[in-house]
Amino acid sequence: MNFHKSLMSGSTSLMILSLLESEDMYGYQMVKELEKKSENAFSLKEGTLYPILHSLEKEDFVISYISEGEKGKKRKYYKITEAGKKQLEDKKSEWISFSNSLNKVVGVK
Amino acid sequence: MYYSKKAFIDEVCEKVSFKEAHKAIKEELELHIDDIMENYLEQGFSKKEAEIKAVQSMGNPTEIGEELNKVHSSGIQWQVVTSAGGLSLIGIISLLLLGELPYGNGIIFGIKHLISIAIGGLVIVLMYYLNYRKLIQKGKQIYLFGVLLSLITILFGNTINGHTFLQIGLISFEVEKFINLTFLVSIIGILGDTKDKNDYGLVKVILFIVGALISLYINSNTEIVPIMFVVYLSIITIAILNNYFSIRKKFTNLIVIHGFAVFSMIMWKLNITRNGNFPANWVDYELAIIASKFGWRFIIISSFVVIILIGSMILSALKMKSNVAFYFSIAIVIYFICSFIVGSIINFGFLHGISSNIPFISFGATNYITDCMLIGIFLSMWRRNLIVEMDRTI
Repeated sequence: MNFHKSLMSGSTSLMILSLLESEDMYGYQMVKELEKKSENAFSLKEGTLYPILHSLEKEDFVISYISEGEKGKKRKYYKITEAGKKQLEDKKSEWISFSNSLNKVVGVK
Repeated sequence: MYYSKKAFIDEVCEKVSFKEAHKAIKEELELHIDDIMENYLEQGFSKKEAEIKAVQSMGNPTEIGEELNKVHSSGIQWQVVTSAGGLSLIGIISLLLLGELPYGNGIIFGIKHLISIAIGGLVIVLMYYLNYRKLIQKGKQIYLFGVLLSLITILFGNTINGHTFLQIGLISFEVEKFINLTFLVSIIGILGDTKDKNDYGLVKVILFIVGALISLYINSNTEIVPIMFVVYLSIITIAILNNYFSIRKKFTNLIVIHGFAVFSMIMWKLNITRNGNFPANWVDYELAIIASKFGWRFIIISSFVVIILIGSMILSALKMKSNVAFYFSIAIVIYFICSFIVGSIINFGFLHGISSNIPFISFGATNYITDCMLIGIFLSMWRRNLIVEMDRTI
């Protein structure tokens, strides 16, 4: 199922932070993990991930570093920071509150 | 529309106005496209088909470039800029309202200080756009330049009230702060080259520091040597504690270095006592004049702005991803802390024998401009923090 772009835009950073909570990842790995976890429901245009990642790093929610991954390839990994973990918790609470309210309005139980 | 991998990346980068970010963006996108291509190749697609499909799955390069441009187009530490600006404003208002001073009316000094602020502002902008990494790479050449400038000053400089000036045509300027700046830049560059170089790296950096301090001292400078002594000692201590040089006997080295530092300070203090070098310039007690004229409220407001400046600089310095930027920004912060503290206690008679300006507040063109240079370099490091490779543990 493909979701409308506007539905995805606000929640992508939440999903990225959530993925990084469990382990440090590089861009391609995040896309694959996102597809796997959502059972292919979230399949974003892969390049659009980078403005979000760079923005998260600028806001101090993630930090990047170069490390050798599989097959000896040098990759840019992203790691969630303490500020990022706090932001994730805040965004999660906001999301739960928002989705509960939305469900009440549109009549989903 | 079809894009090759190169055309796609070029299109993205074309939209990003900050050219220095292109390399990092290009490398990251290239690796990502290669990963997708690899996936398609494993599925049996030809190389050409795999490239087309990989690039298509990346999305619209113009949109991606525009979004990346929003992130990379600016990166100014506004707290640092506004607090430095606030202190400059305090300085200029004080001068304009002080009335008669030992060497003329405050308005005359105020107008001169306004010119310094204009030049200083320009210097901050220039340093912000200058890639500090290129500056640091030329560490040894800059060091040599500092030594040459010291020699020229010794031979041709005029010393007035313990400050040495060089005259080029009609322009006369205080050289010590410029010499100090060249040494600071070069020593940070040399420190950058000595990571994991063990005892050899440590000794190399110390020798360059000692050379710089001796050079400053010979220039009959009682102001900058003690402050830079503390700056370099702090940098070396932090580097050793962070295991920067990968030396085995960390604490033995620290004890030896600090022991030698205390001995040098005692010798210097004894020398000062014999010479009886008291502040000779009214600028050295400008803060006391301000306090007597406008009351302590003015000083408390100034101190509050200083705390914001130093606090925001420390927080930014701790987030620097590269070792060079981290040590350079820490050096700048310690320099400002020492200048504020030393400048203040001299004003109220608690310390004799040295002189120091209060950064951004005190009157003095060279001091103001070199302080602006340091702020500009600090902003340049912060601006580039997003695109440099992380080589230190945060």
